[in-house]
Amino acid sequence: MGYEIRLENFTGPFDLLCHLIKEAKLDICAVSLAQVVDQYLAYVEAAAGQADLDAAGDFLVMAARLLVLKARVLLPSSQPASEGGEEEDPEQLVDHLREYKIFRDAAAKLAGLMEKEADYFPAPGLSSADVGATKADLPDVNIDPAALAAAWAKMAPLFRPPPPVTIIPDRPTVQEEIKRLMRRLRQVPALEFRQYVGRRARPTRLVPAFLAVLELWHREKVRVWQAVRFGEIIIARREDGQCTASR
Amino acid sequence: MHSESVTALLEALLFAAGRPLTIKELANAAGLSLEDTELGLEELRRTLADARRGLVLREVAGGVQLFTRPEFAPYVRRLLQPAERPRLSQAALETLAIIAYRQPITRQEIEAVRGVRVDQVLFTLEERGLITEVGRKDAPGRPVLYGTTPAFLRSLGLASLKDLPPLPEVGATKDAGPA
Repeated sequence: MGYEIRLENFTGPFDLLCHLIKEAKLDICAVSLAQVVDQYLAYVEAAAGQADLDAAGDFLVMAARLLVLKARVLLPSSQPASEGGEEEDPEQLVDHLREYKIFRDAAAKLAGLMEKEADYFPAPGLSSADVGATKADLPDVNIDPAALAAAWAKMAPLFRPPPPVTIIPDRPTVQEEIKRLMRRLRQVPALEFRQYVGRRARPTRLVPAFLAVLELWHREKVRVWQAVRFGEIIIARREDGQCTASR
Repeated sequence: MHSESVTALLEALLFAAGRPLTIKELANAAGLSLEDTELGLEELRRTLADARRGLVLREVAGGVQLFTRPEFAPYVRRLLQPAERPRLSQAALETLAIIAYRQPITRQEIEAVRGVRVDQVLFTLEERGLITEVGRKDAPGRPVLYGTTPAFLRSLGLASLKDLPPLPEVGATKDAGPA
């Protein structure tokens, strides 16, 4: 290496390859790729210590692909697609590099356009502050103050503060629900979940009650089933292996 | 209206707008037909160029806009002392080029071309307002599709994506084969 080149100066393995091929004054093809493999490896090796591993990873993957390619080019007799079919055709890598090169060149052209465009300063235009508020800032209705007052008079009663309500905290715990459910099941052999919690139960009651059912089922204290999908959940007491509920 | 005053009127509107105006917007504001507006714009463009005035009329991002003449850029810079925008990195430029020519495109597709991860670069480009999410690909995982923005066209001085520098044919290189 005549001068130091750092991996960070390249945007990726393809960028480095383009650079090497250009340096060697070659065209992009499998043979020229094979010719620059050693230089490529030298760069990656030299940079392996300094570059961050994340970036180096992509370069290493390419190194592996290049070695396969070189082997293919040097030993064309060991022709393609032996068994696995895993290995790529050298032409695939070449095509990929050509495609990349097209966009790399296009990027340079775009950069050139941007550079040129920076010399054009657009007419700044007038801000809303210069001309007063623009129409977009104004509602497009004519508001008559009297009509506004009348409208408010109609609406005002709706905005009276609501009468105070007392909120009674009622949050049964799962523990309490388990006790309560077991008490009920001592009275009846089986019951519907809906019947247990009541038709109008709130989520604060439903959730602990349902968790209680799951817990009791887990402890094998109850049997739980539904007659049909999305049907009522039926909870039955279970007494030491003897099933009260059939089926 | 006299054609000279049409030209002057259009100039006034473009000056006041300070952004690309479509022919339609101009025609509406000026109370002219689309044809008369286009003729007027052509006249304005010629007048500005012939008299070597300080402003030029250009077509950008789907509209027309007035700009200072590029030869005077050094002087405008001396006056305004604009902060230099950090230039886009090579990696960002490559990614932007791929998106510009292949949009709409997913992150994975860009990475396939560049051979490296591009998430950081995409973030930068999106932050600069040059690209944006344009939808989701109808593929597993519904990946985000990226495309360029009007700001991209403006920063390159292009009227539309059709004015991007043409790419050499990708397929044509296939026949070249190994030497």
